[in-house]
Formats: sequence, structure tokens, C-alpha cells
Amino acid sequence: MARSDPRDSCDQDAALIDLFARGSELARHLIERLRSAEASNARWAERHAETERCHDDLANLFVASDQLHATRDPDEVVAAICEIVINLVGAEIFVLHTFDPESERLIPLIGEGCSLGGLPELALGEGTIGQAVARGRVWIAPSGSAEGTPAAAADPIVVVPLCVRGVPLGAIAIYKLLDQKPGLSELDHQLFDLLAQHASKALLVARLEEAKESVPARRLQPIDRITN
Amino acid sequence: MADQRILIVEDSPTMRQLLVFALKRMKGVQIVEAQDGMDGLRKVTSDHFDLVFVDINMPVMDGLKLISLIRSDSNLAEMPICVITTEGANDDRERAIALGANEYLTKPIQANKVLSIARDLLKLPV
Repeated sequence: MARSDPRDSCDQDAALIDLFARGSELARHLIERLRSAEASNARWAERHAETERCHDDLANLFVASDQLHATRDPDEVVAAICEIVINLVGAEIFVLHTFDPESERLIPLIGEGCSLGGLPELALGEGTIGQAVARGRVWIAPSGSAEGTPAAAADPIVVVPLCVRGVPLGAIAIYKLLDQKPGLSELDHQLFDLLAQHASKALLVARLEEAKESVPARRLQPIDRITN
Repeated sequence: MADQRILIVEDSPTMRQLLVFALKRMKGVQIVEAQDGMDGLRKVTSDHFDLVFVDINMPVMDGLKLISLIRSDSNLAEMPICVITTEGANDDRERAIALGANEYLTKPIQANKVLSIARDLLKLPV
């Protein structure tokens, strides 16, 4: 019987070790590729989710804008404003004020989730609501501010002024969000800006339309101030 | 495959438009709108629908009444229904589920949640 050459055995061992090393290297490479693919997948999933969120936000903004400009009836514009605040923002308690140019005061017009009884008429610059309208900028309470019901002394959590070219038409004061809504989102901030810009213009156009027929002179004053 | 037909029974034009926007992202669906419970009942009994979204608070006939009428009709007993509620409180939701609704959405609604519920109730792949 022929004796095996120890050198052959050594060669075979070396070949096996080399094969094992290459296999390990290949496995390491594949694991790296897999991790890279997983990371890439996660990035794409995140971007997809972000795109979906953007799409949803745009849909909300489009619907809000479309509803505001879908009618030229002042009552229907007011109804659209309320619907947007309830259904898109998710407010449970809010008050819509209208600006009376004669007395130059903000008068509570519609209260959702609350009674208007006892709510004061406000001068421009008076209180949080009057100040927001006077400045013509959306006001949002610092985070952690307590929600409540409207009262003479209660501050809202959001005030959306309704002004066109600096002429006040009214304001939306939100006092409480729906229980299931944890807080204000980026979309809510965009909706407030949209309401500030478009709700006021929709109201103005509706009042202009109404003015074509017949309206008391005092209601034309804010329109005249803008159009002149 | 034939289009899936979805009925939205909701008095708020804003909500209807938002739901239509969300549901249109699914391919092969036909969407019909009804503006109150009575209108919804007329449509649901005169045509075939694979899924109905029903608001609870509506004029003429509310969503709870509509659900009970749908479930009392043997031809519609199995039709999936998703209710839309405003309140975070569970009362309306629980009453709707007890009457036979399959799912619920709370306002303000999110499009991805609407799609997820619709796909689930229509048994469509995600």
C-alpha cells in the first residue's frame, strides 16, 4: 500500500483553509450588502411615508381652499370655515368673531361647543384675540397652555385673524381641540395660515356679492376701505 | 376585476371631499356620495356597494339609524360599514359597532387610516 505524501496533506489543508477564508469573506461581503440593502430599503420606506404625508397634507389644504371658494354666499362661507375648523383642524370648542366696522369691535358670531352668552365684544388690540387681529398674524399659545371654554377672562389656544390688506373682517378663536387630538401639527399651522389668507378673502368676495343686491351701508364699509 | 363601489354618507362637503381624495388613491374604485342618512339609504338600497362610510351626526336621518336599517335588510347584512365619529368619547362608536358597523374613524381623519380601513374591509392587498 502506497504511503501518502505528507506534502499532499499539507497542500489540501492549505487549500481548505484558503477556501474557508474565501467563503468567510464572501459571507461577510454578502452580510454587508444585505445590511446596505436593508438600510436603503428603510430610507426609501421613510421617503415614501414622507411623500404620503405631504400628499395627505396637500389634500387637506386643497380641500380647505376649495371649500372656502366654492360659494359666494356669506352664510355658506361661514359654514365652510366652521367645517374646516371642526373636521380638518379637529377643534371641539371655538368662536367665530365678526368685525363690526361701525362700533369697531369684534362680535362673537358663532360658537361651536360653547354658548355665546356672556362673551364680550372686543376692541381691536384688546385681549389675545383683539391683539392678533390688530397685528394680522396667527397667534398660537405656547405649548402646554391649558385648554378651556371661552369666557371673559379665558385665553384661546389659537387665534386666526381674518383680515384683507390690513382691514379686519373677523377672527377664529380656538379654545379646545378634540380629545383624540394630541396637539397641533405642522399641517394645522398651514391650515391656520390658509384660513387667515383665504377665509378672509372668501368672506370678502361673498359680502361683495351680497352687496350687489342690498346690504346695510355699515356692512359695506370694510369692503369700501379695501376696494378704494 | 370589476370596480369596487364605495358609498360615502356624510353631510359635510369638506369631509366628503377629503374622503373622496383619500379613496381615489386606490385603483379600481367607484365612489358615490350621499349627503344625509335618507339619501344614503336610498342609494344603498337601489344599488350595489362593497363598502359604506357613514357619518354618525347627520340631518334628516343620523348614521346610527341608517346602520340599523341597513343591518335589518337581509340583502345588506354582510356589507362592510365604517362609521365616522367626531367625539373621542366611545358612546357613539360603541353604539355603531353594536348595531353592526365593522370599523370606525374619528375626526380629524387621516388619509392613510382611511385607505388602510378601506383596503382591509374590501379585502384588497396592501
